Amino acid sequence: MPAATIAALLIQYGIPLTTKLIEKWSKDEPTNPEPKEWLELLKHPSLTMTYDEAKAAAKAKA
Amino acid sequence: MKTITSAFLALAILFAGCATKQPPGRVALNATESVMDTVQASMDAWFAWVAIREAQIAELKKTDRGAALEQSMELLKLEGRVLNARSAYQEAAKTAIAAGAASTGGAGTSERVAAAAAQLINLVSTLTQK
Repeated sequence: MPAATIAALLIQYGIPLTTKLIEKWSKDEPTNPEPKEWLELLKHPSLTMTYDEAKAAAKAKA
Repeated sequence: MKTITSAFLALAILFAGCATKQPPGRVALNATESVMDTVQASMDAWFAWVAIREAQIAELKKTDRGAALEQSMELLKLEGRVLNARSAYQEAAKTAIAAGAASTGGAGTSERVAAAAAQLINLVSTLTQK
C-alpha cells in the first residue's frame, strides 16, 4: 500500500479517533482525592470493628 | 512511512503515559487502603491462630486441667497484647487519615498509617511464629 494512501487513511480515521480518545482520557483522568474520599477510609473494618467484633467476624468466615 | 510510524509510536507512548498517570494524592489514598487491607488480613490470620490454640487448650483440658488453665491464661495475655496494638493502630490511623483529609494530596498519610500498621503486623507475625 502506498505511503500516501496510508497517510490519507490515518488523516481520515486517525485524527477523529485520536481526538475522541484524548477527550475520553481527559475526562477519566484520575484526580487527587477529595477530603470525603479520605474520610471514607475511616469506615474500613480494621478501624471500625472492636477486637471482639473482628474475632467474631473471623470465626463466622472460617 | 517511517515518520508516520514514529509519530504513532510517540502518540501511543504519550497515551500510555496519560492512562497510567496517577496524581500523588490518589496514589497515597490507594496505598493507605492497601495497608488497611493488609492489617485486616493479618488480623484474620491471628484469629485463625487463636482458634487453633483454643481448640488445643480445650483438648488438653480433658487430660490436664492445670496445664490447660495455664495455657489459657497465657493465650489471654497474648490476645491482650494484640488488642492493645490494634487499638494503637486504630488511633494512629484515624488521626493520620483525618490529617490527610485536611491536607492537600494527603501527603504522608499512607506512610503514617503504614508505620502504625507495621507494629501490629509485626507483633502478630512474631506471636504466631512462636
